[in-house]
Parts: sequence; structure tokens; C-alpha cells
Amino acid sequence: MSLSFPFDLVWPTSGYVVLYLVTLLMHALFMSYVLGGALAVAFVRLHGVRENGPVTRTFIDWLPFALSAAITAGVAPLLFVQILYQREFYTANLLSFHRWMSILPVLIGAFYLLYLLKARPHARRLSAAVASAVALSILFVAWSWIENHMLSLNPSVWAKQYESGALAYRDPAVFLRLAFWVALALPTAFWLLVLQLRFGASGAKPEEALFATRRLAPVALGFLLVAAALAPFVLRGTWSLSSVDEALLDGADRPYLVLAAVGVVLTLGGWLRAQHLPRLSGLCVALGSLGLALTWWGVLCARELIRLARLDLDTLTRRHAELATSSGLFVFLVFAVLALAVTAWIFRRVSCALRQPVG
Amino acid sequence: MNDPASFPVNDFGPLMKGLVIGGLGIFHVFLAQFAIGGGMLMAYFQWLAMHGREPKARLVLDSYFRWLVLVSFVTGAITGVAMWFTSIQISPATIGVMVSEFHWVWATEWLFFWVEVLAGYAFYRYGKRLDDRTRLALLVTYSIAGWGSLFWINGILSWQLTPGEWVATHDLWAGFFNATFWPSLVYRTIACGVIAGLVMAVIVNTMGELEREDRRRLVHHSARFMLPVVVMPLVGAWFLGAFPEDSRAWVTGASVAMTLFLNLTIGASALIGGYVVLGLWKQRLFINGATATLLLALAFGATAGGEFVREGARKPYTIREVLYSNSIRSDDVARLRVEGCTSGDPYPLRDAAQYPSEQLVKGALTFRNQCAICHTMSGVNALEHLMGAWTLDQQRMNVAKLQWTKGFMPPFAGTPEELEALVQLVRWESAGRPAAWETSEDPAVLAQIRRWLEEAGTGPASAGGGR
Repeated sequence: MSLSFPFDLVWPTSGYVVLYLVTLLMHALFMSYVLGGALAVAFVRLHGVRENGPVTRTFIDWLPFALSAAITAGVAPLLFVQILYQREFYTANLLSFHRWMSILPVLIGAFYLLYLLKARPHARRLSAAVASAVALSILFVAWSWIENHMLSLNPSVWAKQYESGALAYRDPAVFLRLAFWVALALPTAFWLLVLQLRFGASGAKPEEALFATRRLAPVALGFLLVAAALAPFVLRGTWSLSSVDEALLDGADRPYLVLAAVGVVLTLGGWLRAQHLPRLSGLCVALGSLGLALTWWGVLCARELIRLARLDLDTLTRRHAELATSSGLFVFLVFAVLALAVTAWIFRRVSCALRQPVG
Repeated sequence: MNDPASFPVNDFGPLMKGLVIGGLGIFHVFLAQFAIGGGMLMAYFQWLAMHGREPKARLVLDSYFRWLVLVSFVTGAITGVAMWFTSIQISPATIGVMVSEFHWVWATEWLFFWVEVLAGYAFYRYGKRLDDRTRLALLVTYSIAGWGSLFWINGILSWQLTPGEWVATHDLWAGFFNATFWPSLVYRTIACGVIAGLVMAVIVNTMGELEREDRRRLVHHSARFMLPVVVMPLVGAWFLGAFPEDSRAWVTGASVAMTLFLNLTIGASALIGGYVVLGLWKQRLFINGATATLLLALAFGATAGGEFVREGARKPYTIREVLYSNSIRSDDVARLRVEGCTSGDPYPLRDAAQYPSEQLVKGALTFRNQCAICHTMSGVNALEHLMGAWTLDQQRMNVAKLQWTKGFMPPFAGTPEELEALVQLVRWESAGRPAAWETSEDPAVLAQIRRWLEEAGTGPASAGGGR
């Protein structure tokens, strides 16, 4: 069993894929928080729960930042996908046209609604409507991305899709895929929230945080198991108009699906411990977080291997080799180190300053 | 590089595609410059607060930063992504070359953007609970990161107009530090400061807790921050001087629209600069919210005019000497004159049934691949309006010698048959789309078109040569 992807690809394709996957993972974590958070707040508010408990309170407080971080982090994979799969990505964009472009005003609307939600958290009906609108907006964006991805992988339908003028790519597997990503986003969002609650970022009391953890655990575990069950079928496009050629894939995705499964087991362990511990132990945080990271890494690698199996790898690698003649990598790496250092410095400086009383 | 014909082309209806990307671009540039200048201005106000030079600085700073986050972080950030998406819709070939050549520069710009957003949010969320030194540190970090992202993106944008040595060597840094890089960077940096200062004049007028005297004083501080505006005419002249000769000619008389926009930009900038220096700074005038908003609107107009001129001056290219404005590579014109611009297009017409002949279908495909990026058939900048009144032979010759008909047009990149099909399409549209239309296939006409095409050559007008 080899887990060397994407490092086993030829350079520079391997470098571009690594950067794409790492930045996509960052984006996915923030986006999961937004999607899971918006769905959770909408669910709570639509069920008429009056209390402004730590779960809704923390989500409402942090969702605007999370969406901003998701968009900022999303710019990098958006750049690398243009380098890796320019023809496929651009064509899918063009074929979806207005439908694709509409994700931008929808995102702007969702952003301002989140600030409205934050400004008026106690207005029950308003917050129910706003949270639902935000959740629907994010679901629409997710659905659009899934369609874009699936359309980009099916060149045989491009000419017909264009001729028909249809703005939606009608593949029955799109909604199944959406269900998979939602099922994975919810436990991700909930785990990130638990870390916030248990480490005091939300100002919740320890007993409140423990209670919230116990309430969230069964929901998170349920969705995690649903995601695990769906993963192999959804990623391979089993019920899609165009599934991957198993001979070309040659089981390359299996080790990563196994890795994701190991991640799911670790995450389950993290949740099971978290709901019994008054204070989170290092082991528990490590189990849940490492499990989540492995799950996402496994899923993203499997998704990428399946995509590469559907494209002409020789043509792609030749094109990437051509692109790599462009200089600037060294400058990027230097500034990447600096950006990491500045990020750490900002966290440290702000947390130190917050511990001291303002004079 | 991808063949432009390998991408599907979308129809924007009566809207000219250039208006869509131009409008969005102006909006995004204005917001981005506000975000960059806003950070610098806030750092200055924090410094004023720390040195006891302005008692209300801290109060106004927190209010200003909330606006900065709500307007710039939200709409500014998403319109930045929108610029990418819209560029793909308008000209995938152009954005494809830009990303391919400058992907590491763009990736570096993203790192600055990341730091900018992180520092900005840290200040937004915790600013009121932080000590002065940490506040200043965050604002300075935010400002440097914001200006850094301008630095990187400015290199890519100015490269489109003046790629210089890069065309021959493909040396990225020769292309990045091109002839218009520095004047453009200095010009934009000053513009950032002015926009931020004018926004401050608006915001202090929305704050009920400030007295009239407080507002006057705060605006005076902003005016001092905007003082570099006095060198804007010099920087503008430097910028214009670095333009390629033909581009400079467009904006200084050869193209009435571009000359008009340049003059409007100069006029609006002079009015703003004069008011800032003489009124707000020297005479310490009070400025109310309405006047401040009017000045800000004038600054938006100046930005719009400046961006229009910068974009227009690139014609007939989107990337000078490499890619024409219709996404056709300058190197490909000769080949397409033989092979045709429609033969490699895998996408059928959506409305093929409405054309009464195969020739008109070919004309529609030719229009889609060569003209639709800047023109419509009967909407904005329509071919019907531009060439409908010409005689038949005039239409044929003017399109065959397109770069000589109008110097900012690219050469026609297709076969004589495609050119004749395009001409027939325009005539059919001008005639009200009749149900029947005779096919024009006279060999003598096609031979004449071929002669005109050969006389015109395959280079742009700026290259000189045959007519």
C-alpha cells in the first residue's frame, strides 16, 4: 500500500498538486466551519430554541471571520487549479456562465447576512430567517462547485452542454456528492467549535462547554459515519453520468480511502473521550484533530487521484513542465516562510496583549 | 498556451463584454485602493493617538476600521475573486497566459493578502482590548501587507501594457519590473492615500459623538496624509511618458474617447487635489458629509477614467505584442488566415437554425471568435452601427485591412471566406434578418479580399508595413 501521492508524481506536477491540496485543505476546514455553523444555527433557530447557548453564540460570533478566512484561503487553490487543470476548469466555468458567476453576489449577500446575524443575535425570527438564508447560500455555492468539478471531468458532454444553453449540469450524482460534503463538513465544524469552546475562545464556562460537547457528539458521529459510507461511491462517481475507468485508476485511491477511514476512527475516539472529560486532554485533542486531518487528507488525495485518472496525465505533466520554466518559486518560498512567521507573530502578540490589562 | 477557439464563448446580450469587466474592475480597484490607503491612514491615526496629537484619533480609528472591514474586506475580497471569474468569462486565453507566466507572483501576492486579512481581523476583533503598541504593530503589518499585494499585482497589470524585454527573453523579472511598473506603483499608492483620506472625511461626518471642531481637525489630519497628491501630475506625466508611443498617441488625441477620459481624470484629480491642499490643509476648512461624499464620488470618477485609459491604451492587445484583444495570438494570425478561425471551434452555434444559409452560420462563428469579445451585433459597440452604413466593398476592404481602418483594431485573422461570411452576416442583420439570404461565393470577390488581406499584412498598425 503506497501513500506517497502526490509526491510520487513527476516534478513539477507533484509540487503544484501538493500546494493545491494543502491550500484546499485550509479552505475546506474554514468552509466546513461556515457550512456546518450556518446549518446548525439555522436548525436551532428554525426549531424555535430561544436560548442563546454556547453553540449558536460561538458560531454567530465567528462565522463572519470564518467566511472571510474561507474566501482568503480559497484564493490559493483557485490559483493552483488554474495551473493544474486550466482547460478543464475554464471550460466548466464558461459552460455554467451566469449560474457560476451568481455564486459571487450570493457570497456577498451571505457575508452581510452573517454580520446582520451577529448584530441581532437575539431577534428570533430574524435570526432564523437570516441563518437559513446563509445556509442556503453556502449550499448553493457548494452545489455550484460540485457541478463545476463534475462538468470539468466530462469533456464528452461539453459541446452538447454549450449548444443546449443549459446553465446546470444535470448529473444525478451531484446531490449525492453534495450530501457527502455536507456530511463531512458538519463533524468538522463541530469539532472545531468544540476546540473553541473547550479552550475558551468563546468565553463559555467549562460546564457549558462540556454539555455542548455531549449534545454535539452523537450528531457529529452520525454524520461522520454517513460520510464514511458514501465516500468510495461518491468520489469514484459510481452513480454519476460518467464514472472513473477502474482500469485506469487501478485502485490507486484505495490506500487514501483507508487512510480516511483510519482518520474517521481516530476522530470517533476523540469525540468519545471529549464527551466524558471535564477538561480536554492533549491526547483527546490530538486524536480528534489528527483524525480529522487524516480524513480530509485521505479524501482530498483520493479525489485528486480519481481526477488524474480521468485526464491525460502525459499532456498535463508536459504542460506543467512548461509552466515551471517561469521563475518566482524562490521568491514565493521566501515569502511563504515570512508569512508563516508573521502569522505566528500576530497570534502570539495578540494573545500576549490580551492577557495584560490595558493601561 | 490554449487555442482561444478551444474555449466556449458566451454571449453577453446587448452588453459589451469590455463594459462588464471594466465596470467590475473599476469597482474592485477603488475598494482595494481604499483598503490599502485605509490601513496606512489608520496607522497614522494610531501614531497621532499614541503621541497625544489628536485626542479623538482612537475613537475615529475604530469606527473607520469597522467600515473598512464591512466594505473592503467583504465586497473588496469577493470582487477580487470576481475579477478572476469574469476574466475567465471574457478572455480565458488572456487570464490563462497571465496565470501561466506569473503564477508564483500571484501565489506570493496571496501570501500578502493572507497576512493583510489576518492582521486586519485581529485588529477588528480585539483592537479595543489591545495596548497602543500592539494596535500600531497590527496596523503597520496590515498596511505593509496591503501595499505588498498592490506591489505584486501592479507588476502583472503593468506588464500587460509594457512587457518590454520579456517578449524576447521570457525573463519573468524583466516583465515584472517593466517600463510602467514604478510610475504605476507610485501613482496607485498616492491614489490609495487620497481615497482613504476622502473616506475619512465622510466617516467623521457620520459620527454623532464628534463636535464640529473635532471633525475639522480630523479632516485636517487626513488632508496632511493626502498631501502627496501634489506630485500626482508629475507621476502621471512619468506614467504617460513610459507608455509605448502608439498607446500614448491614443490617449493624447488619436482616440477621442480615450483623450476625453484622460482629460476628465486629470480634471477630477486636479479638483480633488486643489481642494485637499488649498481648502482642507492650508485653510483648514470644515467639510460636511455631502461635500465629502461628492469629493469621494469625484475620486471614483477619476479612478474610473484612469482605469479606462489604462485598459484602452493597450489596444489592439490585451498583452502587448503577444495576445490581441480578441484573444488571438499575434503569432497565429498568419496561420489562421490559411486554416480559418472557425475550423477548430468544437462548439456549435446555439441558434444555428435561425440563419438561412451555411455562410451566415460561418459568419456567426467568425463573429463569435474574432469580434464578440469587444463588439455586439446590435447592442453596445455594435457592428451594425459601426459598419452597417458602409457599401459592400467598403465593408470587405475595411475588415480585410482592419488594423489600418482603425489603428487600435487587431488584424483580421481568418480566411477570405470567413471574412465574406462576416460581411454577409452584418448585412443580413442590418436588413432585419430576412428569411432568405443569397450566398455570396463569387471567386473574384474572394480573390480581391485575399489581395486586401495580403496588402494589410498580419502585424498590427503600430508595426508599420503594408497597407
